[in-house]
Amino acid sequence: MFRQTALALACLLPMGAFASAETYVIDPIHSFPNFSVTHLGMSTIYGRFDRMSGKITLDRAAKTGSLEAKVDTGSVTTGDAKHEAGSFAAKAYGPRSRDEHLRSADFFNVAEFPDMSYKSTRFNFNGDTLESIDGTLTLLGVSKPVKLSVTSFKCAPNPFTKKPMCGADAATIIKRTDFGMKTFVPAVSDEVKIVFGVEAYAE
Amino acid sequence: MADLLDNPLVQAAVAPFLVAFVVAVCLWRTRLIGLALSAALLMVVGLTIGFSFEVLSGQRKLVLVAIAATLALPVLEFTPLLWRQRARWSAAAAAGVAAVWTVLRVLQQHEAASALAEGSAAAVYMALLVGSTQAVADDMAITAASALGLGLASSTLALFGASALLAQVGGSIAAASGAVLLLLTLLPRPERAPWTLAFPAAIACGLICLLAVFAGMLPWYCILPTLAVPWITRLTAGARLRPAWQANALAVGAALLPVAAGGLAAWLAGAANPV
Repeated sequence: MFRQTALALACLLPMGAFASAETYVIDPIHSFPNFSVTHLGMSTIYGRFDRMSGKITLDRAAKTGSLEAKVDTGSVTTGDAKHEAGSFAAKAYGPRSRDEHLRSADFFNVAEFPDMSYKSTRFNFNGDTLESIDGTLTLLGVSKPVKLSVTSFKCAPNPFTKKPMCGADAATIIKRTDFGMKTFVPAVSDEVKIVFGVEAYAE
Repeated sequence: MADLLDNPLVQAAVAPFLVAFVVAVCLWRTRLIGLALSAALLMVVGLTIGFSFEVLSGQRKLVLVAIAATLALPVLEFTPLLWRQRARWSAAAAAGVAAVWTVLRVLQQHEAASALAEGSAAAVYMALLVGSTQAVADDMAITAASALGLGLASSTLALFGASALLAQVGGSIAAASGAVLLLLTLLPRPERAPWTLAFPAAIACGLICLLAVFAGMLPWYCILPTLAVPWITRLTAGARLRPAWQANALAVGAALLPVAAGGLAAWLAGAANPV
């Protein structure tokens, strides 16, 4: 009897572990990395990347998880997409817009490095609350450890479709020169605040 | 001082001009005046892109190729006359290979057939530019005017390609060439003209133009007028103007014609193609 029970438990144990680890696919329509920099020490300029993809695995019982996200750097927008010929912007700031400049080799170098990515190494929980994520950010081909502070985290069914989903806001501040992006430092600040707003659906 | 060196105009023009002027004065009686252009270029790199090579982007490869060109310059300059032609075209071929290497990361993201065609075009453009710049290097003023024209052209085209950093590097070549031209007006010419004076300029400016196309937004045909810079500048040699500043001014004026053509093509392309 004891042997049979032990065998049954041994078989069920890994199944239980599999059952509690859930995989979520990032919803690209509702997930954006936003960023902000200080311009000339005067004001804050905001931008965002329109396209990102990736996966999150989460085991709330074991308090572990992983995150892999890829951001299309060519989708960067700051509200200055194109300078029309003869426009004020073209006369004052030249033929190329800020978004075009950000895609150039001076900043995100989209032609050579079309993606930036983040891969977690550890989810840090405080009780049931996900507080931070340790991981590696790869930008312009340079990989550096970056810790994301999770300011908001919630898992629940989508109120309309009832499909299980999770949402989170995670923020960090990086020095762009650490990744070789040196153009116009310090006029455009070295420190860049990045906020990942992510929604993901169970696979 | 740090604030001054952070100013883009100082980085691209004032500092390179002063550095090139000093280096050229020191090397005036040697045949290594081309090193004045290299010094200016490396100075602006130090102030902007930097000398970190952790990940080899196109810009960083440009810096490495510029350093290699600086090291090769004395070897080329002192090549025996008998072997000079061979050295000239070997340098042009090496520049073609360097061009492919510089834009390789972009080519790797294209279809194989397209990458092959684009890489070949880049190599031919670079070899032609470097080869023709060396082929018309028998007059120092004309060679310096060519280098100035190439610097201005690459700077302008880099701006249209949306890269301020590359524009600064091109500007440094123009400023350094201006310093050499000024010295040619002020000092007696060296007995033997160096044939490698514009070598660093041709290498750097060719790569800047290619990066403006491959990593930037510049249409490829906008860089073709730069191939005419050495030849159009050479046409002014027949004028034999005196005093020297008039001949120099004429050569610079001629060099500006292809610059204007390239800039106009880029401006029209920018105005016509909504992103």
